[in-house]
Amino acid sequence: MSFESPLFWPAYFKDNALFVLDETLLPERMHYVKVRNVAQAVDVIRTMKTRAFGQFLVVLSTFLLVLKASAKKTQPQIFADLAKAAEAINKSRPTFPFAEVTGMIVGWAKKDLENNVPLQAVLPKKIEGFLLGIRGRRLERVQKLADALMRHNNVLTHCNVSGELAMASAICKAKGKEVNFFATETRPYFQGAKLTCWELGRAKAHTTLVADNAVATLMRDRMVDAVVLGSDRSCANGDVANKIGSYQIAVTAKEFGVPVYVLTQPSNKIPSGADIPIEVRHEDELLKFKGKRIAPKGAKGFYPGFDVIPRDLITQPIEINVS
Amino acid sequence: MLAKNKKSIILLHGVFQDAFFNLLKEQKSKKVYVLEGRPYLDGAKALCAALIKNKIQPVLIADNMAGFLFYKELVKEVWISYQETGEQNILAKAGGLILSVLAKKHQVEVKAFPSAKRKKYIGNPKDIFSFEGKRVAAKGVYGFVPLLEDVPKTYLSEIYL
Repeated sequence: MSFESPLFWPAYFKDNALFVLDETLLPERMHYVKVRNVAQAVDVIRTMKTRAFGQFLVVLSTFLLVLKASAKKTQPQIFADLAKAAEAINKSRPTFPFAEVTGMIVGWAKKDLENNVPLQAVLPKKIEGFLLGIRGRRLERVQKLADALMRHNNVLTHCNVSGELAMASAICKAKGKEVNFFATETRPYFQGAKLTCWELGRAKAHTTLVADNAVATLMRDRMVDAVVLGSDRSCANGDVANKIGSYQIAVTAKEFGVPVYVLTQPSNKIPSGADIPIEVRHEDELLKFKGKRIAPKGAKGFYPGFDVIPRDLITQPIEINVS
Repeated sequence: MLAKNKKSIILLHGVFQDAFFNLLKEQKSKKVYVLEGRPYLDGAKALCAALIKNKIQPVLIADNMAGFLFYKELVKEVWISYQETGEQNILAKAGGLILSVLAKKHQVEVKAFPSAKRKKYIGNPKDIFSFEGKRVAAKGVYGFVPLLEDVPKTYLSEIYL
């Protein structure tokens, strides 16, 4: 793939430490936060320095950190450390399916422990192999997204889909297809204005920023002919959870006949969107900007972090292959 | 801060002439939800201030959070401000059309009330690049800032003149 966005794989290992791209500092500067232990990993997730796919990457890498720090420990002690790490990660944020990911790793560790397989020797290889597989499957999904984009000229996106849209755009460009993008600013963290505009700019895509309240005008006036969204969690019935704002975009798109593509990772662990716990973040994250209030004293705030997009509002899920 | 009762929330979008607050008082509204109104934040600033002055509690949400309240079936009615009314449409503050579409899907009434401010159709692209005077957008991006949009009267249950 000729272009890879830093947001596609926003963490790496160096000298026994994990370095995580601090997305809250983009686009001003590209800085990787050094993470040495479970507490620091939970902190980068909770403070939204990383999000979406970055969370998944940090979770798996945190188990690698635990294993690297366990040279002098017994096998049961290592297993206990892994289970403790899983518990801390599961409590970090409610909507992303952390327990599904940590449960898988702890399950592997348990099996190894029962079969007297040394955890430090085998588990890192399993995790690294799994990550490599995920990387390959995400690259396949980028190609699928590019195939979908080839049919459209003006695409609206919301929040940020962790590098995949920018990379798909670059594939289209290499084939001579220019896609114009509209990005919502995505209040209150501005992931659209900051991350999506930044990475689409790096991919040399024509990108126009709009307020979150402008999407109906774009759709009704036929200024966009497709919507691309990501997803943080999938359900057995095809519903997904994604960044707050996704539901009203999907409803409006349906009203005006605009197709909605959603990047998903199928899972049957949870029956439907109604069962997804939605994170409600502190009102100050909405009421204040850089420490200053934006609303008069006395005004309260309400900040749900995610929406559910019901399956019937999704024209085509673009799924990651699960084998 | 979230109301727990179904169909209990009054959602406001725009800035309204003074008489509007008397209407709210007449229907004994103690608390309302307010969309912040990017790019100028007139919901967060002017509307919240007017509500507090009238002893009505505003709960601020971002412009992208209304859908969540509809999905949870919490919205009772929607008020949008408008600048002009024509034969088939009203000219409302941008965002009024999303709310109207959501309200149609969830069978919620949308009422329109005259705006306290007049706006031009399109804002300066630069207005969307910053928030409270600080640049938030990546460099090299373009901006499109519709400030008003047509909302077909078919979406509306009542238009106050």
